[in-house]
Amino acid sequence: MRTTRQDNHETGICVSCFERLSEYIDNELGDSGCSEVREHLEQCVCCSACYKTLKKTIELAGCQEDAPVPENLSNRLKQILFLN
Amino acid sequence: MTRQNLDDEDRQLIDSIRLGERGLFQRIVEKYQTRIYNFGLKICPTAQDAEDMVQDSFINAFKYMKDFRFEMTFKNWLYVIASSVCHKMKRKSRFAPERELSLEEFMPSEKDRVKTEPPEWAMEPVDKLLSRELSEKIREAIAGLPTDYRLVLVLRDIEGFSTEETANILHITTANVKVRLHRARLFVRGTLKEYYENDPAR
Ligand SMILES: [Zn+2]
Repeated sequence: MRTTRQDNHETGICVSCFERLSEYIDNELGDSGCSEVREHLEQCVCCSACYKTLKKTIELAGCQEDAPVPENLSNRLKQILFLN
Repeated sequence: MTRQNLDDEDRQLIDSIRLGERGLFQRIVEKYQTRIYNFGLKICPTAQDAEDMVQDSFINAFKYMKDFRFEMTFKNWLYVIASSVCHKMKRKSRFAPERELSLEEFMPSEKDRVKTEPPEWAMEPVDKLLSRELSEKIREAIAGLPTDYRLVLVLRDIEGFSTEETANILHITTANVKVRLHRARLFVRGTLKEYYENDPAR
């Protein structure tokens, strides 16, 4: 029932899940923590949406293209040995 | 090349440089300049600052190489230097508001709790989502993070260091890395949510 889920938010289960989402995504929770979060995500649409958007955010942030080193910088770097 | 091969190659180069083959330092520069420059572009306020940071970092690396004891890989040590140069720049120019991010500010609001489905963008593959405009949004969001949070997010999620490596690079605890990383990610997620909510057609 939706109402029970709303109660969860108030009892802090959601807060505790929300706090650990990054560790869950990074596989840094111990076995028990990990299954706690996983079980909660299966039941709670709100936390599950948070989890999915957070996961996508991390993926997107990791996909940024590299800029090439400007030529003038690369020339400056060639002089480093002479600056020392 | 595997990571181990890269580290071994660095060790040989550094040993030779220390034995007097100073010219080999150029190989180190060529190997890492793109990484360090792109790290700088994410951390420093302007591209010019990023360039200065890269130059200072390599100068320091060259200067202090004699004291480097391989307690970590050379690459990680280079990031220690680069991060500390960034920190000094931060003190000189206050570009992003330096403040602590709290978890509460990112907690789902009542109106989010009523929704039953995750937004569409969370379900799409990354290559379908990525556009110049979105990349710009992500860059802006990262730039808007307080420096201490930005450093952690960039080292973990963009440069690909582990929690422990990031802690060693920044001289903070792993617990601290985790706390800052989670809040920084939530901050960026907030920007993306807003971006999509403002124009549901995206
Ligand atoms: Zn929940």
